[in-house]
Amino acid sequence: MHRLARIYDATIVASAVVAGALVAFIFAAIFVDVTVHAFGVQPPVWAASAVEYAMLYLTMLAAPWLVRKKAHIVIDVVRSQISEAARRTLELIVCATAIVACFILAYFGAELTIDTYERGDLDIRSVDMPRWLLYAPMPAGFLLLGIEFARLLFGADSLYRDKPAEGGGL
Amino acid sequence: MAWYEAGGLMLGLLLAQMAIGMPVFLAFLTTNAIGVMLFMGGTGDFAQLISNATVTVTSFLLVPVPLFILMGEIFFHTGLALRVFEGVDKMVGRLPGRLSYLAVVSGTIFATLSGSSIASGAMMASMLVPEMTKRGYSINLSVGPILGSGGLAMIIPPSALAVLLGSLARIDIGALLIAGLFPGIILGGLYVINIFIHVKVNPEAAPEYDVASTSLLEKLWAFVTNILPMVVIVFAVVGVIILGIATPSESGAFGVFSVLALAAAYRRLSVDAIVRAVRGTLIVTAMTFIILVGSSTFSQIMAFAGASSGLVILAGELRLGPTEMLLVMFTVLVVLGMFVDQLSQMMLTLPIFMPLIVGLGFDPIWFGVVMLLAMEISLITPPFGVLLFVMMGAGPPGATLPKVALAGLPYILCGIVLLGLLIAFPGIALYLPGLAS
Repeated sequence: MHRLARIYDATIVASAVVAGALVAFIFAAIFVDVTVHAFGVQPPVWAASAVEYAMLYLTMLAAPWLVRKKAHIVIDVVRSQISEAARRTLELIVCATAIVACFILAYFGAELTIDTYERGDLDIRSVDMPRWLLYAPMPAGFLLLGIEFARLLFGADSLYRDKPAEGGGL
Repeated sequence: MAWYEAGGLMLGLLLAQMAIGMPVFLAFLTTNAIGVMLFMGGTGDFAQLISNATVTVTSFLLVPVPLFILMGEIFFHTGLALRVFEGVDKMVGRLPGRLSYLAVVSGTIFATLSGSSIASGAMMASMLVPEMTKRGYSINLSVGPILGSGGLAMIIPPSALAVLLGSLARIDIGALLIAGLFPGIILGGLYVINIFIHVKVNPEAAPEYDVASTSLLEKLWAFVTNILPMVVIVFAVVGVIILGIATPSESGAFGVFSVLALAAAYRRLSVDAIVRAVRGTLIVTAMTFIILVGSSTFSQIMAFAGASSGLVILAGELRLGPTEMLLVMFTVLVVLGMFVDQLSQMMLTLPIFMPLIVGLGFDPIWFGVVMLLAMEISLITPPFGVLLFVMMGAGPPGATLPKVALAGLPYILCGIVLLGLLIAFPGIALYLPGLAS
């Protein structure tokens, strides 16, 4: 069990590292694209599609890690005004709802991914991409998100503890 | 179900979840899932929900978002920001309220190099507030100018928020970005006037102190070595859009490259700095994009249930003049912004506002700048303005929420003055986009 937990933790961090690499990839791809174009060479047609997919993948790959970093945007309107006991009850409700929502979306996302894979649908972009590639990060991301919220529900950590001050958007 | 019942249910579900502390992206997702079941094709349309989300986030229009954020993160993590700051510090001589001016001038320069208000505000707070406290500045003149100038990054290009707004509202992103340049600089100017008056009326609020005197030559040298190179980056980003050479995403890539090159020239580029910059970019980009994932079907459901058109017709029946209607929309944005984040603000208002402004004959690019201004103000309105909390975290001892919020008030008023100027002289925003096209 311990080993499984370690593998799981490594998965969350590894996903975030891949997501970080995708940030670097987006810059490199656009930069190379423009530079090559400026020298009159036709840039690779797949670059634009790859960058578009990278944005979705980095989002879904980083989302479970963001739960750990307490970096998802949360609004403190009511929480800051109520008692500790009420706060804990609300957190139970929030986490339970989040788990159900994430697992439902993971299920329907998986169904959609498998359907489109079996049908061989295409996503028409600058190059045609197999459509299941577009959907695949959704079930994976939501499954991990669901597990992360379950960790918060059953574990000692809290969704709201150690929130970084500079979190909260742009 | 009547449109107002459907709209009320959707809004109620969403806001109730946000209120109890549900992460914003999930508040949207669960609301949308319920909306899809009630108003569209039941659970069969969950596939549609997921498909929409993937389509929204894979739009090429969003590419500048990670690039602008990355540019700012590299700027801050390599210490380039510190150099700018030191350069401005040398150039501002001995004068009453100098640290407050320093905050506004460096905040404006940071804004032209960074796409994120929170990063910009946090950086200035950590550099300036300890010194201001030591020199006996009142909280109004220490925290206030930083609150004001932090928000400038949202209006002055490159602004990641402007890219998001442009893509969600279908406004030309390049035009919206450059439209923010003059209004942002004017807002910085209004802050300077505000500080000047404050110091004149109440000199004890910013005690003068001796600064090592710098000769004109030293000042010139500080400008050439620390500030001028940044102008190159500003040109790389803003100039190429105005000149019509590059799209916003290309200009973002130029911007990142220029900051990297400059950091390398100053020998400040390290693996550690790059890793921290990428990590910071990932966090902000993913937390923003996941809300797009969550909220992508929201406006569609509102439209499908008739709530959007119902509200638009209702607003039309108010029979308000264009300026009055604009003030109503501005107020709605600011009030909404007191409680929710900027993306939620846009998601909730755009489906109603965009048809309205077309009917009222406003230029969408101009209105985009007005919206950015309203969102900037929302950052420093109590009770939940994010920058207020950044300041309370990094701010001087005894910085309570009421005190910090009060310190920001004059800068909110400057924003209102800018709104008035934008209404009276729309050219402030529209001149540059006019040149570009």
